[in-house]
Amino acid sequence: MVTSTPERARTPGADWRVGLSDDQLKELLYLLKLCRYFDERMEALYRQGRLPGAIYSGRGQEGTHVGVAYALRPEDSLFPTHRDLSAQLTKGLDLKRVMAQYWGRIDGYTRGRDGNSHVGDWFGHRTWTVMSHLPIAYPVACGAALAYKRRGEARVAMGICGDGATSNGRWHEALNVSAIHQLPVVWVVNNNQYAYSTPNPLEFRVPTIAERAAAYGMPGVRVDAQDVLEVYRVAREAVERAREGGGPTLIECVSLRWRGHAGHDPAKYVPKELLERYMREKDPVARFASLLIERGVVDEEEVKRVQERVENEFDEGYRFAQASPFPVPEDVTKGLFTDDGYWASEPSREGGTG
Amino acid sequence: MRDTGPSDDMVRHVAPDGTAVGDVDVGLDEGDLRELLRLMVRARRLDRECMALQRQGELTVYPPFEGQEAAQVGSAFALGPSDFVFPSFRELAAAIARGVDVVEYLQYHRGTWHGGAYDPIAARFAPICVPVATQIVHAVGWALGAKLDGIGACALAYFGDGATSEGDFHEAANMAAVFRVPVVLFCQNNGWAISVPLSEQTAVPIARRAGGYGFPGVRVDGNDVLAVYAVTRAAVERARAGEGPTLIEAITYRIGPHTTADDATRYRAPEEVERWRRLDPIERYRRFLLGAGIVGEEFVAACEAEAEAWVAEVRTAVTALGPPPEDEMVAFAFAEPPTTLTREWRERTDA
Repeated sequence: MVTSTPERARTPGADWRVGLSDDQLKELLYLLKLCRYFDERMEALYRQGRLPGAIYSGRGQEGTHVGVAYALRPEDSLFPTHRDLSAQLTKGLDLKRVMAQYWGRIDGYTRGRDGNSHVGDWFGHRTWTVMSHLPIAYPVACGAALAYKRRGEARVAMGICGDGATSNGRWHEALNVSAIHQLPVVWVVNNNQYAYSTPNPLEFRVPTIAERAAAYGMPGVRVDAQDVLEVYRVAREAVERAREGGGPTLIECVSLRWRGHAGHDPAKYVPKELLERYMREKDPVARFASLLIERGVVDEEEVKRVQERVENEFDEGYRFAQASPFPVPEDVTKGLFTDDGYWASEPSREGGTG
Repeated sequence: MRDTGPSDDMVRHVAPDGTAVGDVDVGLDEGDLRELLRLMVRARRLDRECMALQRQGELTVYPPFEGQEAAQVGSAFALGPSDFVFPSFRELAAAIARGVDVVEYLQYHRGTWHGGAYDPIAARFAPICVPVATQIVHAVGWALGAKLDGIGACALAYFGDGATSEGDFHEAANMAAVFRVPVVLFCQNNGWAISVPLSEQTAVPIARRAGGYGFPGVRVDGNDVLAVYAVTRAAVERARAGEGPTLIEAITYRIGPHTTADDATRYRAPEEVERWRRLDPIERYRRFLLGAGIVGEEFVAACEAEAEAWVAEVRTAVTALGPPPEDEMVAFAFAEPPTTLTREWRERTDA
């Protein structure tokens, strides 16, 4: 089953708001703007040499990230990649702690132990710490879903990967096992059309990733990710079907990666006209703001206030991160194994901020 | 009621009772039709001998293929001399059909060589491959090379139902599709991956996996040698014409255990095995040939006698094989062995 989604918002008779209240719609707007602004500012800091490590921009793909993660309940789990920070923020991660993570500080989710983008909050917001090897989180999500099923818990796991990861053997193994055992899991593919520099036609021969679902015996849906509400609607349906024992779903969210694979990649291999068209006509953030104004949910003033709010939150997060101490060197061997109590204890704050 | 086998949505030319189903002209002359029977009879006789040799301690471990003769012989028979086979570890019948020296092949199971001592390049038959599904990756790589070299040859990879759940299967199939390489992915679905039944292996028919890659998938009665030959022939021609890969799912059954180290009675019912014995591929084809007047009883008897004599020679040659020279243990690990290793080896042999 592959569905190509119409422009629901403009379809007469359709519930354009897909069951969401005004407050929820405004929350989505806030999240979209937060994720976009965060992405833009972090890249600026990276280029100024003020942010160490690497960045993996998810710009242009916020419709996917916010839409799918918004369909999860707090007890559901999310297994993202390094490009899906927006999905983690939607799941509830604290922006201040995420920023502390990026600067390697003790208040980061991994207490300053990571290059920076491998963030997750498993015991809090149920997001699995990012692993770079793609799609290594898919088998883990499969295992989590198997555990939920065996324990009789009404919980759902959601894995995200990119179009390139669908060519990897682990992707196949995870989908197959989830279909055989009808596991409560939702497989999201963020098809941003480029796996680093490899375009879709050199990655797979089928016209869409969604139709691969039939080869495993599960439903597949293809959705235009410029429309966050449609992404959310499709994801919610899949999440609830999984929760009710209906098994897995494959969701292909189509967008375009606006920036390079990572901060160091100028992405000259993406045709300029394609990029400009997506940025002009398929911006999920601008599109959603216009929709809410058109429908009278917010006015221009309120959109501006949301923008000011996210800018203030970013500045606050930046100050918080800079003030947060580095980890102390003596702690470097702690917390490698669960039984030393490191992650349950308060860390030393004697590291200084340099 | 007549037992027609497990599925009706598969290609079949000869029914289990030996009667023709529709057109049985698959483009083979009577000599070839007789040769198929002769090869299957030989293969079965040798397979049974190998089981006995293992029980006598003459082979270390052996994976029997009884019941899968038609799937292997029919598919291998459809290949041309320059095509290349990438087997797993249960394809001795295909090796026989390809003309591989079976004494050299059995050195693997004798434990006197690793991967078969035959020349893989000359035999167009890759070394025996035990890590499940890895040979599919090799086949696709070879096929990509064949395409780039423009030699007009095609690769055929053999694998089982269990292998289709491996990531290597996926990566190989996807790459074969993207680059349209000349390869035939030949799955012998024998119902069991050691003790894992098909129902725990996949939620869809294996042939349907092909749709996820964008090439054709076909189901064939794997116990019907003519049907197997016909679908493989079509896939090979398609590959040679530059139209890319085909996935063939041959529905068959492993009558014996996974290997001589496995007790299949622990996970499957004797009734199931009996049911498949009644769907025997050689008996079916024998009846068909007799019914069509292509062979007489005396030909069948001659095939059996010839197989008996051939297997006696193979047995004598295999049991005469001694251990390989000791230094072969390290001889082929490096093109230029590191000095530490050569020193260590010298010290060992001097001692």
